[in-house]
Amino acid sequence: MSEVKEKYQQQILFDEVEIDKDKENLPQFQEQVVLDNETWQESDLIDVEQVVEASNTKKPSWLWRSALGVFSVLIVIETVEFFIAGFNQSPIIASLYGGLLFILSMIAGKTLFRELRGLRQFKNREQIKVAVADIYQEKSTRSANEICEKIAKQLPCDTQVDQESLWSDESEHALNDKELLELFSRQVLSKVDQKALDKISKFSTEAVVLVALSPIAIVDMLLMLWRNLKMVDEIANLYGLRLSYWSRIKLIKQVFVNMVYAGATELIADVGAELIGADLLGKLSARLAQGLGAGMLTARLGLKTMHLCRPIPFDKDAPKLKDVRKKLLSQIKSLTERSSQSK
Amino acid sequence: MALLNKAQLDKLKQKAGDLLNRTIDQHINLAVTGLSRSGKTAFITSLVNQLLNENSQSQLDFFDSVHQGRFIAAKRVPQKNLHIGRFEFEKSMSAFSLSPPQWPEPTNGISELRLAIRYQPQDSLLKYATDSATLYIDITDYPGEWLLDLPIMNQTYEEWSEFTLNLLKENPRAELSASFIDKINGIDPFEPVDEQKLADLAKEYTELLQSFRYKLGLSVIQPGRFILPGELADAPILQFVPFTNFDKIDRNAYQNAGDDTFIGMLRARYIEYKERVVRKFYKEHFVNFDRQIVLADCLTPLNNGPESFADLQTAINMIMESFSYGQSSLFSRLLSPKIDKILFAATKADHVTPEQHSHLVSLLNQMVYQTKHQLNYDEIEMKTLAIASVKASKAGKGKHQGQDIPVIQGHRLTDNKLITLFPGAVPAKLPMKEYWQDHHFNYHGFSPLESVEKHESLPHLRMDQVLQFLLGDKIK
Repeated sequence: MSEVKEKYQQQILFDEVEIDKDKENLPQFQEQVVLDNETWQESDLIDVEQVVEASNTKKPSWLWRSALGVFSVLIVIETVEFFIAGFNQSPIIASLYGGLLFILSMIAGKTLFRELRGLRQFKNREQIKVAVADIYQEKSTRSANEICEKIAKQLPCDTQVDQESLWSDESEHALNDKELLELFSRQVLSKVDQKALDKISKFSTEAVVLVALSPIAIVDMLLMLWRNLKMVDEIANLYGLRLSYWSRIKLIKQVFVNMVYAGATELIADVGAELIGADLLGKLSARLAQGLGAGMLTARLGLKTMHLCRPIPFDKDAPKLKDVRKKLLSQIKSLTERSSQSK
Repeated sequence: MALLNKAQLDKLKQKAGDLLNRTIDQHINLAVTGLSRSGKTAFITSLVNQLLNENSQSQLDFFDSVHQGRFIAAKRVPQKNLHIGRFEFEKSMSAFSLSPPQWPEPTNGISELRLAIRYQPQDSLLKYATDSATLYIDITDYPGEWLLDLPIMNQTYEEWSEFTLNLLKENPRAELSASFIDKINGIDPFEPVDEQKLADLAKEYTELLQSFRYKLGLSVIQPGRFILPGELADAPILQFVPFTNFDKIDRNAYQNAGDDTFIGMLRARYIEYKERVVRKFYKEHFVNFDRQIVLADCLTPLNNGPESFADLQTAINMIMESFSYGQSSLFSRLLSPKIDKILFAATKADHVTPEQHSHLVSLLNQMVYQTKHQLNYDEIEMKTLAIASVKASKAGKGKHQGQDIPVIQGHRLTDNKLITLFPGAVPAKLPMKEYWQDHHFNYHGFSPLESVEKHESLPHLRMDQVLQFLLGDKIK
């Protein structure tokens, strides 16, 4: 009975007419029991993250660790001894060495910092993805507004201007977390998607043309490698990921794993129709057909990169290869027409 | 030569496209179902307004064709049935553009409208035929009071009287209806009929229904034409009452009673009402639906108490029955069985704070669970949403006893004063009986937020998701 009594919050009427539109970090105003539940869920969430982290970073065994420790102690002692001896014998050379060491450690430190920042960004992105997935499965307690703002902060500034003007209008929308994420995805990220698609079609057109022009296979391969790496970088940049060496390798690894797991069926479904197009084009020019194949693969790589970089997964209208193909074919057509006209 | 060929080819393509367009029927007949005061007129007005005034400012992000830029435009076109009134969209819109804005007046007749939506097809076969395709939408507006007559179609006078008597004897109604039942019981059913007496009785019954409706806030009001007669006011067809004394009379005598006896006349008028009014209404307006939206206001019954809520539940299930049970026999004959998508919408979602919307949805789900169960079996696509056709409040937060709590702000309907409040939580399921004894809900009504000119789109809550669910799969 008493439980029933406390169940529903009565209404509260305010005297003041001032209303605060800023809704972020709003605590849920509900009965006591629910609050307890929520705190429990929060701790549960943290636990899961910790478990994931622990399983991901395998701590090296104590033998290795002690070996590493002894080694670094030795290096420090060695360096100190070297400089003590050096300053005694020839101070000028030793100070030159000191300068070199300082500069080298600066460079190394800077690189290390950049790598770490890149990795941390990458990890952050993964965490956001986990949080988004939680909201989609309705088991998260993090507010969608907070996540959206976090994503928005990472986006390149030209997109930020767009999104601020749009997003702030919508903030008084009384929507739930799932809808907010979807709205953010539709209003802000769809613009980024469009840019990324443009990039992909540009790079695949390039791939088509370059491969069609280059006479030797090894040049093809080198060209493809160079252009594809550049494309992955630029797409990641669009989604607000500044890649460093290791994070790039991680991303590329993920992209390739993804492409392998995609399997034959998806490949056929994706590329099948495009190959028919290539076949038709093959009648025009064998080289161009070859190039188109390379272009399609580039586009595929680009799309997979998009999927991995996007903080909120695509809802039903994920970009497909055919979207790129349309742009690509029209560009190629205009190219060939122009060249045939100039002949 | 080449140029000629191309021109010919284009012409041919266009001809083929026209033909295909005519063959593929792009047409939706939308059933907007809701009891009176559930917001049908506001919903239709908002829906039409959103589609007509689609522009870069409109907030229809969840409506895919708008989001993808394939929506070209919509316009109102002449309706199919010329003998039925035209939906007065302009009149309802002008209510919203007054200062201060007001809700449109309640409907007291049937009206129709047809919209044509032009869009660029993307996925369907049409893509190969035309650059732009047209989808026609037919919507009918009618007084919600009449909807509850639909179950009458499958009841004989005897069954209906029994059902009504049970209702009248039960708790919220018993007190008011006691004297009426006594009066009917005091009449000898086989005496020759006195039409004036019958008219007086019908008047009394109508008054009774009206007090059920307005004083007690109940939903099961039968026959609906009694409280909203439309063009039938004072016609003898509306002058009958349920007979409350069937237990006492001889069934054979009842069967053989002529039309000049009291009971015979009642029966004759009931049958006439059933055939001429209800079935006609049903046949003219409730056939060939493709899509249905069921609007339900869960907050007002909560304000009125548990009986009112239970009554709404009964009413909705009664209505839904007349839509669904034909699926096997009657339905397939009278109604086309083509309703393949149903949206249950809890209206007035803006009258509570946003985090209560999920409770509102589960409350509505609880209310319609029987129907849903049946429809699930029939593999009909369903969804429940908390919507506000026209937004009447702003959501935000406020400080209460040093704590931030979600609040809404709007103009109270009764005195148009700006108030800020936390309107109270919505129960996720119907509270136990004990709870009602010392608590009651008190959700305030609100006026529309700000006056909106005819060329602007109305502020709304989740209307874009409604559009996407109801129309999205046809516009692709």
